[in-house]
Amino acid sequence: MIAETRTAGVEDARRDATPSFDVVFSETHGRVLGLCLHLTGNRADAEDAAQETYLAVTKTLAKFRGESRVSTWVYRIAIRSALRVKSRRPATEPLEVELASEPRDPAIDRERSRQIRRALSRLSFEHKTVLALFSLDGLSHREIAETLGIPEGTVWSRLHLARKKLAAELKALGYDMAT
Amino acid sequence: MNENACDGFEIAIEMRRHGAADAEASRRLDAHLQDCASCRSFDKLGAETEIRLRADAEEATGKVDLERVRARGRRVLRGHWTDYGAFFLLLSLAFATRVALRVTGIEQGDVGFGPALAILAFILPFVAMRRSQRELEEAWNSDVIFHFLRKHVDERLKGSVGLAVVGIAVSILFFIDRVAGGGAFPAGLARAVFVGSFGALGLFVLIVRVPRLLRERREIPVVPDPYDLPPSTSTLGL
Repeated sequence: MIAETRTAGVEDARRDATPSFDVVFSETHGRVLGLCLHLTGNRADAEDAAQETYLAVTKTLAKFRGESRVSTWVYRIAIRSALRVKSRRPATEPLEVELASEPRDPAIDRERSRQIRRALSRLSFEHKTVLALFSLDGLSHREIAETLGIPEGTVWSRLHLARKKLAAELKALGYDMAT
Repeated sequence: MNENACDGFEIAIEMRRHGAADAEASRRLDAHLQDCASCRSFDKLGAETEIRLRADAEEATGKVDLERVRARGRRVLRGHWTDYGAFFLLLSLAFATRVALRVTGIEQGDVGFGPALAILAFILPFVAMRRSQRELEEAWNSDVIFHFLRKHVDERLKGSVGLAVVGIAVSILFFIDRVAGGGAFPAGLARAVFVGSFGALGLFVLIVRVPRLLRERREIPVVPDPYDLPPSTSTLGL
């Protein structure tokens, strides 16, 4: 509900006029950071990518023509920024996501979370992107299709393929599927 | 079922998870899931990976919220620094008056403990405020910040009530002294300055500062003591 309200805020702003940077930032920053975290695999790169995203938004917001939702336009920029930040880093063993602290819910098993993050980091950027977008709270499949610039039907097959690849990587990492 | 035959159902699983499957597709999927262990496993794994990835993303978002909470803490501390500055100014003026009167010989007696008390009254709250600032900047999650803020406001409340009592008590003592010692100029004036300044300080603290601290305290969420968690649930293994 909160996410819907937030998105509605940005879209209302778009209909009325070009939204202010503050509105765009406050309503997309959480998701942009989450998206960049999944795409880059570590917090420092995620913050760099998010910073580049908003730098680009600052420069081009005035030219935004409203042909798509502001939010999906920002997510597209974030994906490109994350790709750029990733490409500047030397190819190494997939990084682990460095979290400020482990999830606080005791039911969440740290080892399983770590394996999932590791498996995700081994996927292609395209598959990682679709999984990352679907894991963002409150983003509809229409918005995801718009962000990726593909038909809605294709989103499901891409997600399916990405999920299969993730399952294969998890299996290779010795993830216990039965638990 | 073989893998290719299940592809359609696996896509249906994804669609249902994201609210895009209609009732008929959902019914067919349920019927299939009853017989297909592979799809049940795919469903379970998909749900689990998504929950955990979402938790990671929320953790990242949490950092933004943490900065907001920290900014709120800084605002509270800024207000207390202002109070501290005003208190120090008032105290300095009061003691400077007394020192000036005695040094110039207008009032009888030596400089006394005044300057030493003034320095002590400056140093103690300054050290406490610096410690609070450091704790705020080092806090690693919002619970720690809220816990710290509550502790800080509680300490300031105690200090303020103590200050009010001391201010009013000193004011009363100077009033008695003024009545006993006579009100002639200039000694009477010096005593009057003390009655007024300490009395004003006590009343200001009681009427303005204590209610503000109580209001601040009410606005701080009550959280469990993050330093007192059982080992199994402690986020940093404390």
